Amino acid sequence: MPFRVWQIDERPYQKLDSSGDKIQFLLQYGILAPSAHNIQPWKYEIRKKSLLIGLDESRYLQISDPTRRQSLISIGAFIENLSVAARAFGLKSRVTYRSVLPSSFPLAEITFLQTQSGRKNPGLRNAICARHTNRGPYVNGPIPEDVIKRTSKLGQGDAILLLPDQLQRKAITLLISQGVKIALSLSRLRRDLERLVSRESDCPRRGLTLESMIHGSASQLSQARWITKQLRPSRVARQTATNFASSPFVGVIATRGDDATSWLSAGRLLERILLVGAQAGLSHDIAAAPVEIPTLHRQLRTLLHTQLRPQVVFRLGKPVWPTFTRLSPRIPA
Amino acid sequence: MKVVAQPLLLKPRRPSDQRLLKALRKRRVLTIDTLPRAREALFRIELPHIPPGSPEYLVSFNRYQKAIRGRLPTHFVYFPWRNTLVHLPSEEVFNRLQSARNRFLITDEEQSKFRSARIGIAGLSVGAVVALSLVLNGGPMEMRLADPDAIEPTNLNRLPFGVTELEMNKTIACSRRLYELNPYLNLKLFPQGLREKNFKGFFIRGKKFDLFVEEMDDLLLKIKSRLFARKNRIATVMATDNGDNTIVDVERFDLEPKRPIFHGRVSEREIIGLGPSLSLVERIQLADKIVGPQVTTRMQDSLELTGSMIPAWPQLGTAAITSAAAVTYVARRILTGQAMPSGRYTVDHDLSFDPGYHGALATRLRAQRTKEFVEGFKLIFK
Repeated sequence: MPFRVWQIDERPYQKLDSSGDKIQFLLQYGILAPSAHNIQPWKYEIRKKSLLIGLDESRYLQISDPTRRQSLISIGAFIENLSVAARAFGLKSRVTYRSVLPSSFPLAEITFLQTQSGRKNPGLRNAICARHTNRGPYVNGPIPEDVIKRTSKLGQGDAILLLPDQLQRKAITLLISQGVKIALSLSRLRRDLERLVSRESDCPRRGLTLESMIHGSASQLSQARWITKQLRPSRVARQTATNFASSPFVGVIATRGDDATSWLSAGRLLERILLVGAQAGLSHDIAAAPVEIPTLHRQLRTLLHTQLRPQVVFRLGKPVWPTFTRLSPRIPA
Repeated sequence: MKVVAQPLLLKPRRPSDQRLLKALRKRRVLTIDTLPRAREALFRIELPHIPPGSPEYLVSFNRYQKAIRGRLPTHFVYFPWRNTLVHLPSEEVFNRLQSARNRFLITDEEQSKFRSARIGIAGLSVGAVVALSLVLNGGPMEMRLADPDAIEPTNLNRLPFGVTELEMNKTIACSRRLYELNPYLNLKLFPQGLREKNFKGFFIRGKKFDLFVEEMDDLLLKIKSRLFARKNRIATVMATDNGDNTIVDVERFDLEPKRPIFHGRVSEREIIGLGPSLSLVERIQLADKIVGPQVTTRMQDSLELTGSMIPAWPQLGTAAITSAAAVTYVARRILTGQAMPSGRYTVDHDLSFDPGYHGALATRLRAQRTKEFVEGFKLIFK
């Protein structure tokens, strides 16, 4: 059940009458948004023709996400999925940001209105169900020109995509390595992670599966043994850095502000880019540490020569190990 | 002429208050607008991760200001004794700002419990310093204060008042000082002091308070107020100066309604036998029983000279401040439901800082001096 959410049957939508039911239907797409450690931090309330969205405080991770930035980026991705899905079903959506404070509810309101034209851009809607994380290496070849073109035109609110050059990418890789090593060396963070890691056979509804984190037979390890034996900060840091270094596409999303509105915008832009990539058969991976650790994000900003605040570092590419792409569980809408 | 001890809280949207504000402005009172800085301080509390001076600071701050414009409730507070009008955020926001630096050292839940407690303080020498310390810590908003005395020059080594407050009743002066720290306090004043006839009004009228801080000099009142607190199950805390140090007595009458007062150091049969006033010898004997001989060497010397070379029990500012900090800590533990058993506690700077304190010679000298003190005391007063 937690994995069946990735197969959405569109047919029932045509029979729905009320706005509330339609919004409930669209939520099936919303919940497929990526989130840090797959915590799915969104909370929502269906109104007559709109949806109020905010953060479920019981789900965010205080240690690894003290400012709630990662959670709100995820909620931004959730909002973007809803917008994309709405358009595909002939609805116009208007997103209003309601607060700059992360703990407020609602953070945003999406209003849905029927349009004259029917479905538009169903392809990007299908990409919602095709978008998956792959933490392994990517094929080191050019990614489709179309993806580059489309992503470089994207912007959202005060969020902008920055494309580092080769030299900058090398430096970013070092920051990612440092960041991962620092993060995984913090015992409190590891304890947070322990609670969230399980096996697919446990049918979890949240968190990360071992199968999506360790490639090959090592995924036969028990969860506890993996945390103690395999999760060596230096090893994971090296691996992550190598994967980022060899990826064909590395991007940084940055914003003018650094508040809830900025984070939601960053999340929306991120998800739009990931969907464009997924449409072209590309997977993605995200590195949060360089953005969260104060010493690192300052260095990141300096090497990118930008006044903007970096919010997301990510990579796109065709996975070398396609089977390492796993469906992540979800709490159904 | 009535002495004013409380500021006026004026709501800018209330018509009657608007008229008053107009009148005050005509009189050209000193006006302080704290709102711009308060808004920015609030922004920094809400979004503490954004470093001031960073490019994103201004972007997010402007967004924040736009969002709260017109939505931040405020008060004008007029302090008549200073002829000053201060524009402040409302109580809730003000208290958030005032206690912002407490966060995580005091949890939000503890702060809320601490603030909503009620406390009575009798004796406003050390008591005034305690009251200030409590308010600084974001402590009880509701306090009852009692002291009949006026501030005199010899108080100025330990009381947080200035020369402009000399001759002023301590209760009034304390009230003004506290309201200047937090104008949203709810203080009930007893400038006539605590007496048996106003025990009910002080301790339990309205709603009985949660903690009694007893700092009076009058020994009979110390006893009687304690008996009343015990009868009404009100925890009692007292700090006694001891040189630069303090002795803190915690009596959890709220948890132990049968607990003997002063930890049983004074027999209650003896107390019942006391007359309406005490002779010098009776006072000294009682004080000795309550405090005990374990005072500092210099304190012992001073006590022997009281009435000949010095007029009164010596007291240092350091002891008053230490007492206030200790009592505030104890009060916070009690009022937030943390473990704080009855007993006698000491905060001893000599022990912490004097490098020779634990030396063999110093220890022997202290013991010898205490022995002489006790023997001398017995000879004179027993």
